[in-house]
Amino acid sequence: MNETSIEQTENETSRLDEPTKVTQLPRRMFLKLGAVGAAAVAVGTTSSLIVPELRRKGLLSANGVFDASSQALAALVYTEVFPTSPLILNPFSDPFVKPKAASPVPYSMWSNDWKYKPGPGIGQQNSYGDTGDPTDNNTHQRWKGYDTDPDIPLVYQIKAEVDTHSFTTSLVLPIDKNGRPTKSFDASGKVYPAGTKRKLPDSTIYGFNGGGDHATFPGPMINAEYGRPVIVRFENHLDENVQQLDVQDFGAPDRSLLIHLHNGHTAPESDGNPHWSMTKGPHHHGFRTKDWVDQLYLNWPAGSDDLEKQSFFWFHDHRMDHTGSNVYKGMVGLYPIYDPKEDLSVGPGGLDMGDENQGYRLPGVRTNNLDGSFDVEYDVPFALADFRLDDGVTMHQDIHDTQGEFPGPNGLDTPRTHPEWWGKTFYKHFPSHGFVGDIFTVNGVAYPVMEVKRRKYRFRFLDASVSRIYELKLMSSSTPPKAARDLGFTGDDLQGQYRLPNGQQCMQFLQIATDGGLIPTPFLRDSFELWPAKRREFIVDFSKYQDGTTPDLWDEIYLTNVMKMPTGRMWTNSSRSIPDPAYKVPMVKFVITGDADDNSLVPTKLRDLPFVRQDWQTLMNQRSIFEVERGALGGEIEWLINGDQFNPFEVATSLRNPARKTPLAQQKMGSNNLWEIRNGGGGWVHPFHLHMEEHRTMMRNGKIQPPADSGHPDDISKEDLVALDPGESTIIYRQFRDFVGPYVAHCHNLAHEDHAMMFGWEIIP
Amino acid sequence: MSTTTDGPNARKVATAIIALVFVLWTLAAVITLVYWSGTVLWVLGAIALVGFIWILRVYLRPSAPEETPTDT
Amino acid sequence: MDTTFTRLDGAQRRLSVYWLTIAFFAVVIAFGDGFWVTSVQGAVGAIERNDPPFDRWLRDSTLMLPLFFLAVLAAIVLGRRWFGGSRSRLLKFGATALLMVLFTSALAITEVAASSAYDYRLQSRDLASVHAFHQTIADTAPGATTTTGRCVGICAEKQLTLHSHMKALRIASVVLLLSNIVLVLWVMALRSDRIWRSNQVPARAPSEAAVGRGVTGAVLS
Repeated sequence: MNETSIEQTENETSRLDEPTKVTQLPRRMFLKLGAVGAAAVAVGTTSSLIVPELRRKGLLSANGVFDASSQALAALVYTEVFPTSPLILNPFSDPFVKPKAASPVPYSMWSNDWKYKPGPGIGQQNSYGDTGDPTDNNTHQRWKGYDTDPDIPLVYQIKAEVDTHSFTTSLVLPIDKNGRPTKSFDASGKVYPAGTKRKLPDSTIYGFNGGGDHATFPGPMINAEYGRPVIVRFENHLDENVQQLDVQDFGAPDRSLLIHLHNGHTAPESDGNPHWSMTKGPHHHGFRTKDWVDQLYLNWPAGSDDLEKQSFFWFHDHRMDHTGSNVYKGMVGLYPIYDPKEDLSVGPGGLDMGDENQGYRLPGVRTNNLDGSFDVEYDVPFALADFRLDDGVTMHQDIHDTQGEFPGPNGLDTPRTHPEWWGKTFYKHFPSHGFVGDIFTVNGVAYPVMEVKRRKYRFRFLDASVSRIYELKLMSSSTPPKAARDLGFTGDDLQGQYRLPNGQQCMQFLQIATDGGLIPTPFLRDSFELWPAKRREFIVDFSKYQDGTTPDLWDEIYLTNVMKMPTGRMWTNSSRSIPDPAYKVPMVKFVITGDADDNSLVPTKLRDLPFVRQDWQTLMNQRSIFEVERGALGGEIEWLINGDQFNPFEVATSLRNPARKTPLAQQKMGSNNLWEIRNGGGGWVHPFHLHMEEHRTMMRNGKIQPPADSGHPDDISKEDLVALDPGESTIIYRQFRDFVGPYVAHCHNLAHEDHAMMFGWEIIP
Repeated sequence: MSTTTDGPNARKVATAIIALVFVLWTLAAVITLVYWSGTVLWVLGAIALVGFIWILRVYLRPSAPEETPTDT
Repeated sequence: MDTTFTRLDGAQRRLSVYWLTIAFFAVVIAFGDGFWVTSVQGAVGAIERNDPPFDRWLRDSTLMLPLFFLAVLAAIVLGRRWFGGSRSRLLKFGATALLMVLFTSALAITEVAASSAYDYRLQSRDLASVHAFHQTIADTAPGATTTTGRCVGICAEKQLTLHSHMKALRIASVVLLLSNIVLVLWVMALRSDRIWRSNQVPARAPSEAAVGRGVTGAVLS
């Protein structure tokens, strides 16, 4: 160090102290003020941009900021790429499909012709028969619900088969993610130039054949009644593939299946859950090809309590690790259940028989068929499901590619593109984003049209999607639907394909039932959310608009989705969040075609809720606590409960409760308890489903219900699925009646369930 | 004790304490990084090797010749 | 002992740096980089380390603080040694800032890499136990041939795990570099007069120190 440099330094220092000519501030001070100012601007700008977004996602907290950042990083790390489905050019031209009731197998046929007959004997429950090991549970533990039930149940035969399905008869235009025309392909390898209109090839399904010529999507609808047990023999014929169809690269690779009646009060051997199937029965993830299983649905409410009766089940695959892909591939069926019990205080006849002249007089005109089935007009199920169709250029890539499950020609593994599958259903396991489709279908048809009369209808809604949540409204519009791309939308905004730019709400829904069946007091709603696997039932009166005027002939009303959900994490826009006035996606078009007799009534009172012990709060300290969380494993996101992945061989352990205990998820038969289900954060929503019985939500986020949380008005009813917003926690009251054995509870975002967000629990004697 | 030396002594002690805390804290950070990276055995092996070589060098260093007794 | 104390004190004087400035740099950069380290762990980290991220950030950033302190100190000392004689203020400050960005980013990237390595070990261990009851390649579709000699099953999942960590590390490296540039320049602007201290200034008695600071300010030596 020399004196010259010191001198220089002092000169520089003095220059730093010199005021600048413009500001009259020393440079040093100018720099400091600039730094402080820049920081203030950065903080202010960031806050105004990010804080509302974090609040919307439930991440506005110290931990939430990190979760949001981790989310963004995960999106960059885990490659989950969706194709853009071709644009359906003529929506609302295909008729709405209302499934006919499936026919039971005549007694004479199954009792004479079947080699293995359904029955209560040892080993008669499934094709594994009597193994000699009583713990194998290949026997129905209970043959009747009510003592008065018939000795012989109705028997249905449903075969799981490889077949084809067409979502639309309309021509389609292949488009890219920006909505521009793009090239397409066919199975022979031919390339079609951009702008070529095409007919969609049929997609391959694993469907249910309920005795018809072929398997369908959705599968058969079994109209059931309380007090009339049903056996459904599910047979796995997925290895046969008589049409030699390309089964592509999703679905259970060994084509095993496991069918669950959601949410029947069912013994574990007929419940269709992997905690049972891995420890008993097939000792496998599901029933293998050539297996069969008799699922006995007693059609009997829990504890013989009429107040526990429900009204709308559905059955779907539940094969461990591939539930989402199997359900998406078509293994879905419907199961409305009616109540023939008479209550003269309500009115003569069965309370909910599908006959609007009896009981509650809910909309429905029943026709009894000779084969023992019955159909109900004006009582319509709506199974909503969204799909993606392959564009031939998107890489097929997920964790299962590493398992050697779907080796291509010459044993080559994916990831790769599949131009030969252009226009067919695309599915990959995307646990980070969840799986959302861009074509919205109802009862297997994309954008159907339904003719309706000016009278009341009973609509039963089911969300059969893998991850998508819907919010539905009834709207009319002065202009027809327009393609989203023609309105300038691109990317994720193309999901749903069409918009109703001038859509306005024109009718309301009168809610009469939730997952758990008929509710005590019907109430009007402008819209309702429908989470995966949830069921909601409404009366819609097409004889008048909400302003009291009468619809004209040929008036058009659209069932419209107003919840934007670009990924399976959660919505970005909805009525209770930040509404997007431009997001109105029509899903079904109703056309008024005339009048019809209507003997139904608008009910003011339906079924009371079942008893909950008045001292339930004494159970708080001993409750079991289950927290859903997110982790990473094997190169993908994994979903956990209490820090663990699903282990089908064990029951879960609760987190430490206020009594400082960590009980096992094990309940004595006949007992009741409080379970807390917590959403561990991270910005995802979780529809959490518990098998075997409905529950009651006693508290949400520390507040006692009722009154219900404004975001979850159905909390006051009995349900089998807890809708958890980010960071929420619910305490539910559960009972464990009538059966013993292993069950499960899991997220019904099937992308999460397949990536381990499930736990085993059991009822012990 | 002189007051003119109290101040510098106190500063020296404070500096030493700060330095000690700093060293221990740094060690904790380094050990954590080593543990995370799974190189604990490698690091211990390297320390052992260096120590071994150092010991060898000490013991193999030529020692000063003994003084021969002088006749007095 | 007294000799040790004297040596330490002498070393501290010889370094002749503004310790508070270095501490300020270290805190800002350690906790700033710690945000990204924690975010990476939340994105690809092992399930066992699924602590509340805010607590983890506080804990890990505090733990790494002395290493960042040393990195900043090294940058400042080297900057003074290599560029202190230059006439250009831009070169002196700029080069020192660059050294600081490089050293702290290298440290932060090392931290991310070490944390990822730990996560990978935990995840590899988990894969074996979890794989026992999940799909195996033995359960392939009827008629499909299994591929022998190829990395499938647990082997492939480990590869994918490693791949995801490497990808996260690459992304984090870029993010860390960019954020350190911003943080270093920001702190430099705030503390522009307290970066270097001349090492020719003789030792002062405590009572003179305050006077001395008021007179000389930041002296570049």
